[in-house]
Amino acid sequence: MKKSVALLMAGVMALSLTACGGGGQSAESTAAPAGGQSEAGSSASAGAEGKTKITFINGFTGGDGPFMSKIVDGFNESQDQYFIEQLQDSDHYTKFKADNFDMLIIHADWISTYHALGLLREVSDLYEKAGISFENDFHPITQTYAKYDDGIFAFPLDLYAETFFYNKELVETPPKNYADMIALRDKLDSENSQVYPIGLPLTGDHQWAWMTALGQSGCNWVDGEHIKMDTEEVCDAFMKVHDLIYVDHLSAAGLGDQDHYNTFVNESTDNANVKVAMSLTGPWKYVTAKEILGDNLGIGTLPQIYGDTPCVPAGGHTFAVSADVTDESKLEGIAAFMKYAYQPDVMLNWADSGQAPIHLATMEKVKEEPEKYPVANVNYGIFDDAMILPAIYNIREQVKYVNANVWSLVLQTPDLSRDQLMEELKNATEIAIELSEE
Amino acid sequence: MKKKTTTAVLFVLPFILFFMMFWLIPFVYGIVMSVSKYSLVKGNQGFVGLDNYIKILFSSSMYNKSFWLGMKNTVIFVILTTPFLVLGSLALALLLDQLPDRVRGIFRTIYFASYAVSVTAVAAVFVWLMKGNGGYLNNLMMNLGIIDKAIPWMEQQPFVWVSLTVATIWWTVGYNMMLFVNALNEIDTQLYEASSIDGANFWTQLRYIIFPGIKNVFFFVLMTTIIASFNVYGQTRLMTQGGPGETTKPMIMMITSTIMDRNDLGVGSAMTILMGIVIVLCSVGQYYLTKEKEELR
Repeated sequence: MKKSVALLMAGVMALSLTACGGGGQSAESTAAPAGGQSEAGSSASAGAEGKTKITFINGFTGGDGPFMSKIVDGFNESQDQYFIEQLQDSDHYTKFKADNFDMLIIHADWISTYHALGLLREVSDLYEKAGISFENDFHPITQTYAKYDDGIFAFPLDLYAETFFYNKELVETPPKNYADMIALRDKLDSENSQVYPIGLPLTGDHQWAWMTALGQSGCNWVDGEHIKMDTEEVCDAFMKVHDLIYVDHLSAAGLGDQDHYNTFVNESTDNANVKVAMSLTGPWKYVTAKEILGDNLGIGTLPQIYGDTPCVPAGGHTFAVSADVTDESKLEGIAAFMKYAYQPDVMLNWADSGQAPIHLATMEKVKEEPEKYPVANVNYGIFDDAMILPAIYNIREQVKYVNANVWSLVLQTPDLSRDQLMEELKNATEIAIELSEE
Repeated sequence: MKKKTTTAVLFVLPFILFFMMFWLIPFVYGIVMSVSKYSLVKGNQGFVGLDNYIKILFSSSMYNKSFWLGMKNTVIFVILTTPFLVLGSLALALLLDQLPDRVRGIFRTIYFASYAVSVTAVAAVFVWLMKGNGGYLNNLMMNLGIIDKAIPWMEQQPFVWVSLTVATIWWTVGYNMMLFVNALNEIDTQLYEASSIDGANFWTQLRYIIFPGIKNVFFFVLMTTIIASFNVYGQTRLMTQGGPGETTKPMIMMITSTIMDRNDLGVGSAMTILMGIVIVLCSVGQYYLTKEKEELR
């Protein structure tokens, strides 16, 4: 009996070991994505022999990942001197901080913090080597986040702005201002039909939602190196958001995570669930919205909801180089990659992913084909009014308190008073000051 | 003799090695970091004594607010879940104990099965079930006419705590139940028979036979459940992202945010040590309370 048990145990152990080995072998041979991670370069790592290897990490683990891989693979195939080894990982910022990667994709609003921490290399020499002009080859907005007093720290890739989608079945003429939205509410009979003009969610693009309110209201919410929220004008802007829900009923109250989009695309057969006629969200939602709404999906210019100042919250991706890269051959390789990537025909691969490249020559090509690149073309129309988070240290941390506490207070307190709101705005400012001084 | 010693050392060596690698060295290193100005990016910037602890416990800094808010949220979660996870699992085990042998195994598997599901799947299912607008539960209750307006289970307090508590109980109650089932199996059936002849009902048996028989397991389950609840992270991270506001952001989320988002390993490590101390104090306090009762008895 004991022998048979021992044999069984040994068998189980052997099987489990075989299983581990099998998995490892499979991963190595196919380099398939697993757990939000894919090593696009590893499958071709044999091609790196004798070449200067440049490691590159990015967070494109979604639908845009293969398009970046196409650019990288195209470069590797064109090269006999350099080889880019790419890692796509959803946690790429942490990995970049922990490991030695030569190059990364960094969001526009992270550059200021990484620059202040000394993690990025000044790259104007690489621009020169690649034959690219930062001043002339990109949309001017890039100067607000990639250029600092001590030089240029990124190669701008794209810009994505808050995009205005509407359902043509419910909206004949897209509203241009608050009065139009009230008229739409009346037409939809929102309180009885549960179909509202828009939806303001507790989470999901909510940072853009309050940035829209502050930006369109013309608020100045930055003071030196920190955000300043405890002002009357900021309080007014947040109260407008509150009144939009609880006074004018342009949005239903109590919407949860991603409900600004879910309620836009989901079918509501009875009056039990809320539905919205318009959605302010990221351009990356276009593909799924188009699949669901088909020809009823409309894309328009953001209405002036909160005031007369044109303002569209935006973000962007950029290439940046680690401050630790000192090897001349690697730097030559990075410059060669930039020279390759910023050819309009190559950069069009990025437009194919649904993103809006910010390289002027590529933009021209994209504009020639509005049917093929509808979202990028709409985004190009609002680039001039785009507002990216201010380029100050720790900005993403500085706005977290507003995102979590101020926003939920505004959204979930029907009888919100200015004093209550101001107290939270003061807390947000105090934390931001502390974070800016770290 | 020498051969025996060598064999013993060989047997113990892997444990010692792994204990040092994955517990002792990280623990000591954690203490060192907690008394240092230590950035995730810039590395160790020098010894700062107890500054990090003072910053967390006594200053008016954001870390002080984060720590006490995280602690408050964690304690709320412990208070809400522990009674259900301990008494609920005991009730399930007692229920199973009453079932005929033929079906007992089936129900034991059903109750335990949820424990095998990953927290990611549990969170996804419960978000779908409990979502305020369009969630299954609200739609069901509205269709049945139980409510006429959606309840914000995932959006507003105190409902969010209810959702988190229900999800946690559904997910983990099976594990504790299995421990109680084994403990109940250890009780001599003759005791039940004898007490029944003496006229003891179920409650009398529970008090004088069952509870004394499973007492050690009960306190073990209580202690491990409190510790596990203190370490809550997955459910809140995936179901509520710590919201609404920061009302469900537990201690571990605060620590993660301090280290990964604010790059402050020093303060983050000090928070971890303080949290460890709180858990140890709870466990020791509970140990002495039960020990005292035993001695009195």
